[in-house]
Amino acid sequence: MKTTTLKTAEKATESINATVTIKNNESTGITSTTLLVGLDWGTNTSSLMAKSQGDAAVRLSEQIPTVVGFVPENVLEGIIPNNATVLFGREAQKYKLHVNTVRPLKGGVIDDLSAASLFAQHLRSRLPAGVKEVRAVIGMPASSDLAARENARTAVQGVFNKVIFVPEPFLAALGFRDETRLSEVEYKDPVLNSLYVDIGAGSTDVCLVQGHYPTVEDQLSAPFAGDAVDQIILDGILANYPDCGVTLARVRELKEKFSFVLADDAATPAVATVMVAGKPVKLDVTRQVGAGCQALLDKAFEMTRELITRADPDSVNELLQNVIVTGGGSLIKGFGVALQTRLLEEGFENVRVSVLGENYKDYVARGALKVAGQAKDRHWQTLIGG
Amino acid sequence: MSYLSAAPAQIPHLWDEIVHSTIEACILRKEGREREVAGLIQEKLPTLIRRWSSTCGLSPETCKRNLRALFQRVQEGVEMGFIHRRLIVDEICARLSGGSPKAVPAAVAAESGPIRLRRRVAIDDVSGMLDAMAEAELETRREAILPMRPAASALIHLFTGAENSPAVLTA
Repeated sequence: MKTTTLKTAEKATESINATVTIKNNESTGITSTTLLVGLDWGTNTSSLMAKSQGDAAVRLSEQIPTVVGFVPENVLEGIIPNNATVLFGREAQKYKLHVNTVRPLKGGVIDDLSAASLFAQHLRSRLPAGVKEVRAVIGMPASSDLAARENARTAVQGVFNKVIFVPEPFLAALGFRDETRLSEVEYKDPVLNSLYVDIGAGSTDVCLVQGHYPTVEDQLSAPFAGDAVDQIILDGILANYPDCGVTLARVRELKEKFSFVLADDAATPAVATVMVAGKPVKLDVTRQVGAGCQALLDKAFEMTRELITRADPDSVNELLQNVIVTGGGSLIKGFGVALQTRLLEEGFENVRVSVLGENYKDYVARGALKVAGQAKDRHWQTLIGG
Repeated sequence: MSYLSAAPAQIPHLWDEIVHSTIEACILRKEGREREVAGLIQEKLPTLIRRWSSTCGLSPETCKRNLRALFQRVQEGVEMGFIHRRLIVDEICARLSGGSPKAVPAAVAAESGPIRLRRRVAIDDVSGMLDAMAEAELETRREAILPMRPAASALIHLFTGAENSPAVLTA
């Protein structure tokens, strides 16, 4: 199976390389622009934005599920569009029954390097043609280490010409800031005195943003986030329904559809239809989904409380009114209200928690694009074969 | 050259703790962890110093002199340690990676912790943030290859002495 996947990966690489080369050749002599890219390379979804250097207008803004589908050699001709050997994003999801689906990232960092390289090449193929050079600012989880960066660098070699890696919370804060409104009296600048709770797949990161980028002391990170919630839900379901055969992928779907942290939000029961011995069986998994999400709320609350106690006491009053939840965890129904309630119950006053919600991916990519526009030549790392 | 002279039996333990905490405070400061530094130099060290100076049997002047000498030498030692580490590690990396000082051996990368800023940079200063991130990445790489705390053990031996030697600086 692994050999098949590797062979398929090699073929796919050749095919994508050919496509990219053709596009580059087509562009030769047409323009000589540098394309700036902001990329939030997420475990589940990637957000890609691009603009020409010196331009304000964004030329591309796209969200792509971070999925690679390898087509097995025994699939009949005509099933897969253009008899492709590998599919990406929504297409890979659409043909999931006919492909071996691989998620290149786990916990926000690269888990399968060859699949990640292919996915990066797919991202490149989405960019506008007719550019001489592509420079990308790529968001990394705040807790990522050197190995994660090395893997990311390797994966985008030959795809982008130059790259910069920046922690995602920095980018989210920059992307969330609307510079055009800074002169408005009523505009609350989200980077002056805020506390960001970024709940990703692999880690929960809480950081203080008080007019400066968070230092080592302004951040807390815990390896407990979306993936851990999935596991709790799965364990809970299997404990109650040991023979149901539900998978982590199915659990993720259930979580995305039914996640909640407040009892009121559980009015719509989470009912999973799973196949047992070829027959559909309906299971009520409301309690299990709730337990997973509640565990995440508990963790986020503990970390938020800890960081508030570290903040300058003079800044706390205003800080408490600017607690911002971002990342995939922010999509859990009722999460912001529940966190606010927990903080109030703890004795903090005038707490206001806001949630970035569905647009959080765009904020990271937008922040990355802002960084790309302001980076000096010395900041860019040149990649071999870019 | 000996920096040590005799003192009552229970004193070495307190002095060792003062030496350890001083070295740790200096390393933490280099790592940008000012809050932890403050915890050490405003709370832990003053308590230790009070207990040590009231029981070591040395005159207040001698105690002050010993402490000043300790602080100065530890600061210099840690500073030099960081400089040596930078030179050694960068040279090792350059040799291992065929001249590219930015490449990181995989085994080393796997040992590193998260890369975080060690100094404050204003939000508007994107360029400054990128410089600080690059510095932090280099420091993280150096720390992964040659951790400073074990390397600082030479400093600990210098001031605490070996085999339960009474640990008081010569007046």
